[in-house]
Amino acid sequence: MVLMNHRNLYGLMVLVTIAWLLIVAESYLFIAVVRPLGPGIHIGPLPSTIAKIILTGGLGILWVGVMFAADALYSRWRTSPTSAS
Amino acid sequence: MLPTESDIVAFIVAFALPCIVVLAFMPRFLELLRSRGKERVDVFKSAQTKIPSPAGPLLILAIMTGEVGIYLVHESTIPLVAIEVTLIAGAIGLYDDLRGLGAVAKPVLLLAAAAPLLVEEQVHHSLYTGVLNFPLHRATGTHFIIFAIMIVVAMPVAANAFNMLDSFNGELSGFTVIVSIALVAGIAMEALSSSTFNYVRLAAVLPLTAAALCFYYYNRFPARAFDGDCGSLAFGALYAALAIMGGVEIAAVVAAVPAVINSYYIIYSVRGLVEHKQIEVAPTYFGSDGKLHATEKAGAPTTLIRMVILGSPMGEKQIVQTILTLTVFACALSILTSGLTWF
Repeated sequence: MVLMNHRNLYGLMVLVTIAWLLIVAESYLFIAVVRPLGPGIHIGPLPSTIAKIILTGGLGILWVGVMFAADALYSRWRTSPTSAS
Repeated sequence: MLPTESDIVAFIVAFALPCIVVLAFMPRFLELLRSRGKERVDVFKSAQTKIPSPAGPLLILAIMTGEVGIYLVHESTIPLVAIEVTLIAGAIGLYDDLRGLGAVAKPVLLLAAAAPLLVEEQVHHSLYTGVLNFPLHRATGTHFIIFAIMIVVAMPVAANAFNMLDSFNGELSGFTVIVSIALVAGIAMEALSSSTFNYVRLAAVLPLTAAALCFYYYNRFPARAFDGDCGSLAFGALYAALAIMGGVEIAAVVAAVPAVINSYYIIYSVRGLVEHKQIEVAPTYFGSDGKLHATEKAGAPTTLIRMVILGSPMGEKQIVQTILTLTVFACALSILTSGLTWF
């Protein structure tokens, strides 16, 4: 039986949880906010279509941005010297 | 809706046939690969050993037998589409294993793996629904064009995500077993919440689970076989196709979050799609202590492995155990997502 490093594992679990929360929350925002902005993008007027595309892209950029911020925080946490070292 | 007797027969056939093929023929297939000089150096061992590769063709054959078994029981087109997707992605991977493909050519060619789904849907209109089932809010409206674009994009994304995670002994095979179980759980919840559900969608996942599970026996530390790009691309493309046909796309993404994170960080940190050999600074290095260390040089790409060992070097077995534990955690979240979607 190999012993795992639980500090790294817990840190990565936090990262996965953040990714999951963003997927659930953003999909809720997509359905509850973005989708009711107008009719389907293939039949809707141009302004509502553009607004939907921009907001959907924004949700994607938000996910990527938060994940990179989380990576930066994780890397800083794992590379900073602890009191024991 | 509960499964019928013929559904249960299909489940048994779908799981048993791939197990028989892998366990009965893998030793001989590995001998064949070895006799033909098809071996790869296991780079994360201090004494560099050569391992037969690619075992992917036999894994594809195993998946095909399971899917054909389902077809013989139910005569549905779902397992046939699963076979076509696996063959297309596997053929691209096999070419990459034998001749080599560029970092851009591979994902471009993998777009073709979406063709069986799109064509079959156009012909029979029964393969997928064209809606996305979100947690809490259930389904969107039907958007066939947007959905078709998503299918085309999903194939190279999923196949490459699996491929990028295929670094260590037992890593990809173990990962595939776990995420396919999450897929089964999600589709089962969908079936139980529905009054009319075609259980072939669930049965079609089982050959992937069975082939990956039996291959794990040969691929786990210390590995006796490598799947090659042939196996990893076929696993990834099939996973995406099964999620689409099962209607559990969001839950499938959640289960595969460790692979998704890995791919995103690699692509971002190396600024695009590149082959392994094009990366100038390796993200990790093998220390004299027999453990893998994270490179601290500037310009080293961020990978999931590097994050796992950052600040604490680990042996290969320990790294894989950490990643598989993380995948189990992601799958628990995936099952929770399926619960929030279907109940």
